[in-house]
Amino acid sequence: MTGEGGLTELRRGVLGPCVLALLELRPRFGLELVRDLAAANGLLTSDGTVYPLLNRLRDAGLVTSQWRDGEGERARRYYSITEAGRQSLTAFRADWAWFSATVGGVLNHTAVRS
Amino acid sequence: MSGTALDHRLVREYLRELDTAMRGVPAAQARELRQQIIAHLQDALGPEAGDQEVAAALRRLGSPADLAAEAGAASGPPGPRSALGRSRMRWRLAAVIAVPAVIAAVLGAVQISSEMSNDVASGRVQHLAVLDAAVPRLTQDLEDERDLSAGYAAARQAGPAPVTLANARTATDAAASTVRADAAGIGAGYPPGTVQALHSLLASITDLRDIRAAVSLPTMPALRHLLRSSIPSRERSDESRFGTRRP
Repeated sequence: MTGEGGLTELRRGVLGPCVLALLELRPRFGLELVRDLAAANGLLTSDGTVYPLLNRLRDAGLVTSQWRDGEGERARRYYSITEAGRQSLTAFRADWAWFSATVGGVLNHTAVRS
Repeated sequence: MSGTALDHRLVREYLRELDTAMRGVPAAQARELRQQIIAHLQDALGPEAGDQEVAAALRRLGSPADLAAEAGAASGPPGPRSALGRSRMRWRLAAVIAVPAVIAAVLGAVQISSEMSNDVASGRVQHLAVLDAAVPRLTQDLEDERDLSAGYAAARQAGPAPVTLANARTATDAAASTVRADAAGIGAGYPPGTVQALHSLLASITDLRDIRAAVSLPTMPALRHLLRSSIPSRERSDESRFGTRRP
């Protein structure tokens, strides 16, 4: 496993739940979501990948979107989390806690016999 | 729309490249992604944005080829970049998707034969029970083969299938011939639904040969017809997600 390649796969795997976690706080439009994800340093390899991801989450019923008019601005598409999305996020949080503790234990040699 | 970032030469160029890269992506998905990218750029760039600012925003977006691969790959791995590679990939994915269709046919037979177990015609019920025992084995072997086929196709290897996949195919074949033998004699006198399900199951087992050929071969145009006719409508949504409808 190359360092960067492995990291890319990891990022891909966790980006969906991270998007859900941001939308859990409040609905956001595309660029807003991209900027908030980018603020979490190193989580986003490219801004564009957020959109196909959003569409997959929508197809899976975890996210929905609606158009909203801004004051004097053009309408923007806001993405929000669905009830199924909240449930999925709750499940992921539990899985993630277990997963990171388990992997951490093995990586740091605290969970294996030498 | 005039005087927006969309009029910038670099943006127009980027969108053109994106359109080209998304040729293998189903039209509705391509249209949606294009709109999202446009909205992103309108929000990110003011009408007066200079070359450097525009170039930086486009660089952050990622290459059109990567975006198109993300859009077309759905939850699968990103596809190869060249048109030839993409079409090869599509055929292999289509072949792998067809295996679950075969499994669906198998499960249909199981369900119907389970309903039959209340039937008083105990001889027939017994016969169906034997079949019922053989079918899950075949289902399991088919699933194993599908998973290995998916890995093989995703790795984009050419040439002969690896030993693990060959072994899985042997196991599927053994389970299939058990089912075929158990199915013998089921016909007149049995519920028409069961007979029909069994018929399509046996036909699907025969189709498996062609599906396997497509997993190994770079292209198999003759398979198009077979896939269209053998994939149930539930599976077709997957088919269009991978863009197999367009040559």
